[in-house]
Amino acid sequence: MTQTAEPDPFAPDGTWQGLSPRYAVVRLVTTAITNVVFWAIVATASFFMVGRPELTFALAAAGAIWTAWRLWRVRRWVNSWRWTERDADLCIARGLWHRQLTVVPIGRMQLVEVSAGPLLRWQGLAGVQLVTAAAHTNAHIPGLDKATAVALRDRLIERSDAEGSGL
Amino acid sequence: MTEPTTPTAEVTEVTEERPHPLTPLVQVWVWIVGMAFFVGRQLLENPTQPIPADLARFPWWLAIVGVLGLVSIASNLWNWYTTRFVVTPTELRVEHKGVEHESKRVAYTRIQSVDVTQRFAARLLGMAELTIDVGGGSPIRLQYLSRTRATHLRDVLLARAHRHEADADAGASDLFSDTRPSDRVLVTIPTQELLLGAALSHELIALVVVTAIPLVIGVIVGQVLLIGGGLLPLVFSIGGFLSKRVIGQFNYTLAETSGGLRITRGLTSLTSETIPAHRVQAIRLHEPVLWRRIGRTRVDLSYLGLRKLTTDEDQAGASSIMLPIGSPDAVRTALHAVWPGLDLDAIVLNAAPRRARWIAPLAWPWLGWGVDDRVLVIRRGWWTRTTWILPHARLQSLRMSAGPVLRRLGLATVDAHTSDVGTSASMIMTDADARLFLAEESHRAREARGTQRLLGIVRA
Repeated sequence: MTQTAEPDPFAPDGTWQGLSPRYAVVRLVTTAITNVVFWAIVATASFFMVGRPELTFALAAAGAIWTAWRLWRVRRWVNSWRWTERDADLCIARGLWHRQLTVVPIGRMQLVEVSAGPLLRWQGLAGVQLVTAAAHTNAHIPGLDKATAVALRDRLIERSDAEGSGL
Repeated sequence: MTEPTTPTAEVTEVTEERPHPLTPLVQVWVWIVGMAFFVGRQLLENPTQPIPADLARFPWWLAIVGVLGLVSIASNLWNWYTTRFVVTPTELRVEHKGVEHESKRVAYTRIQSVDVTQRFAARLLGMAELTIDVGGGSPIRLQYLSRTRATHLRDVLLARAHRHEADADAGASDLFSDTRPSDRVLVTIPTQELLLGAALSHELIALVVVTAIPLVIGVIVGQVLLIGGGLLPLVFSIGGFLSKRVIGQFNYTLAETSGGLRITRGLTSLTSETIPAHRVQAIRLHEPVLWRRIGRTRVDLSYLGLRKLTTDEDQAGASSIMLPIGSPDAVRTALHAVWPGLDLDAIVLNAAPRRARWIAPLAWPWLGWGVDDRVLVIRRGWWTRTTWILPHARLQSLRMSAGPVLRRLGLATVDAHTSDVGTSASMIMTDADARLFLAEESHRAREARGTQRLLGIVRA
């Protein structure tokens, strides 16, 4: 691919921060659970509906391979997230296959949510969701250290007040 | 009901008002018409004995419908009785003291738009519904007021949203329009233009294709019955579609008033939307493939709080449509009403790279984006060519993204997000250009926001 020769447009220069490495643990658990449950249901259903053991074994094997591949990719996927606060905006870059770079002006933020489910709390993490007036914005940073997340939220709110220009 | 004697007297004095007493009846008008039909038929058939001695002759469901209707009239009556609204110098308050007490307050500065809708039954009785959009959350509805009260209240609300007093000349509007001598009518759309647009619309093509299937099968198989059975629905559905479109958009008028842009339309139900021009977040121009042959365009606009509104062209009530069909001149007039001096033709569009043909083979020649000091223009699409016009100052966020295919081609999609209800505006560029564009556009947006803040155009 040409990206080795030229600078990668999705991985910009400057000081970018990643997610907490412990977020990979959370993702490993959720990926494992969803995949195992899904493939277990598929394999069991195939056994009862078709009744051919070799098909069930093939499905179970395919499921195991798929799950293993997903688990192997989790760490790389988590590492692909990058975010940075610049003087007027917040940038979030992410993705391995489908890559994205989102730029949200700080003056445009309507509210900033910090939230954490049981798994995130177990690892002492939290996610930050930025809401603008546009429904399409969908800017969130999952899996930050709780202290980092809270500090980011407070900083964003404060700067948004200073930058804010109404609607 | 305490109707003020003169419109101006009410500005200083604060009185509680109820909606119009006929409200509960208008809300269940379908039921009333149905009941009147049954009773009327009964009277015609049997003038001496309106209620038959043998009650078992009544169908059982009629009793259920009757009871349900009475119950809903009673509940609507209770609702009407417990609802009051107050216009104070700083806010509109809607109090609802039924089983649960509820008090909604609308600060005038938060008002995004105010619509006056007269659905069919309400219109017969000269009543209207007021919808006040305040951005986030559901809009506030006042059902129903007398039409003069509704339009006057609308004028007061909009005037206070703009921080000046309402015009004294309220009420001078006829049955099919909502314009005053002081308003400036920008565009009206004649009925034949609406018919032309509907006849060349994609909806009609789809309708003809779907309903023509039994007809074609009938011709092939040689079944006369199928041919007849296929022809009738075809005629009916085309007739229905055309009349619905024309009735919904009848006498479409775009006018400039002191309260903002006013869109009035409808034959059976009259809808009158008023949107302050500075609330407009973006404008979209739609040119379906057949309309391009006759040089016609549909103009949509988006403003905050549109989430609940419809983009449907046939419904009553507020919609995002600014101009259902317009010649290039009408489109220019409409654009200038929102952004005076904007010259769309002067903005040079950058074409998409040749590689983008793999992604958009038909639309490729039309793909493009361009900027001037105020707006970002994005064009794409073949089946319906869409042009977005987004002011830099209204930009909410930007995103570039690329899946495996796009990355292999060295391309990326750039989305510009505004508070738009439709799909977000997106353009295809080389990934290096996309990166550059992201940096430049966020700079432009920041500058534009700064200017607006300095000029005080945008209030927080």
